[in-house]
Amino acid sequence: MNDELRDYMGRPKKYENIDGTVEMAFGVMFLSIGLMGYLQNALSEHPTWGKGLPGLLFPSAVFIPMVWLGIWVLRLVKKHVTWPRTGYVAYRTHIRPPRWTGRFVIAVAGMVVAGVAVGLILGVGISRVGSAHRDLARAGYLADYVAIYAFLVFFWGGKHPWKWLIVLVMALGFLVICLVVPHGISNWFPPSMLFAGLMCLLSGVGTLLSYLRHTQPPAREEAK
Amino acid sequence: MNETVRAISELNRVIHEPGRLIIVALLATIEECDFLYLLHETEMSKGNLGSHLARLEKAGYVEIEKGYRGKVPQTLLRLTPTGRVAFDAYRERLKDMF
Repeated sequence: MNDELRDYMGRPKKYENIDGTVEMAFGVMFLSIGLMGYLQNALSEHPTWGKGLPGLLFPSAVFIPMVWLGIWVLRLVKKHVTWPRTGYVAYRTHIRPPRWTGRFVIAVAGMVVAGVAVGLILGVGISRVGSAHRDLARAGYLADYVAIYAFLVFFWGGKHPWKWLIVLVMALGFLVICLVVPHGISNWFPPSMLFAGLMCLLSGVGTLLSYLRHTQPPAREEAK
Repeated sequence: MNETVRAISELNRVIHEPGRLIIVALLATIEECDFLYLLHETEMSKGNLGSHLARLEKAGYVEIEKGYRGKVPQTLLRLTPTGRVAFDAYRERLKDMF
């Protein structure tokens, strides 16, 4: 019975992505990071904008408005699509989160830290080792993104088995990037982020379309 | 009467009813939600959900606030501190039993 209770207690958290907005938010974030990487590459040779503080600030001029735009669009979806169809939920922010939320956050954070650590450990010897190790470091780093996305699909995607196909496409896409794009983080990082962003956006849009198909348009609550 | 049966009989009756237990479990992890969300998540009828909420409100476990979002009527629901304490106690008792 406690398990069933836990399932009900976990539903509000899963409801957050019922319309795919969380995935779309990740998608926009990755796209922004990818574009920022391209901009930094383009500016790296510039005498003024490529160095020091301007070199950091100018790419932020792309990143911040894009993230803001993404958040604005997602709020619009919640307000005009999700809440009128299946209801409004406000999450607790000022109180200690329940244990399962803590475990979820720890799992995702652990994966990120593990991936970065693997990337760093393998990357430390990049200048000293051969290209095979560099490929391994890059593949390890990108595999971490696939693992995180797969975990989120496992957590959120119970009703959407097609998302496992996106996990597969993401893994294959990263593999192609590893094989085709030349070495050097400035070469492979921006296209990887653009690809991850597109995949997340695609997954989010798919979830939104599925949500629209399976829910009734504005089911208004009756005054009681 | 053995120990388990006695323990079950001592459970909070307001919360122990399956419909109300689902409602309280859903409200326990959030700040507030509207009637439509509970309707969607519990899959109860409006009348059934309304009567359970009225019972929980009477017990002081749920706060019901009627208002409008724009021109659309909206009923906001949240668990009161008393409701949270009662639900936590109920879960603890349940854990001890099973």
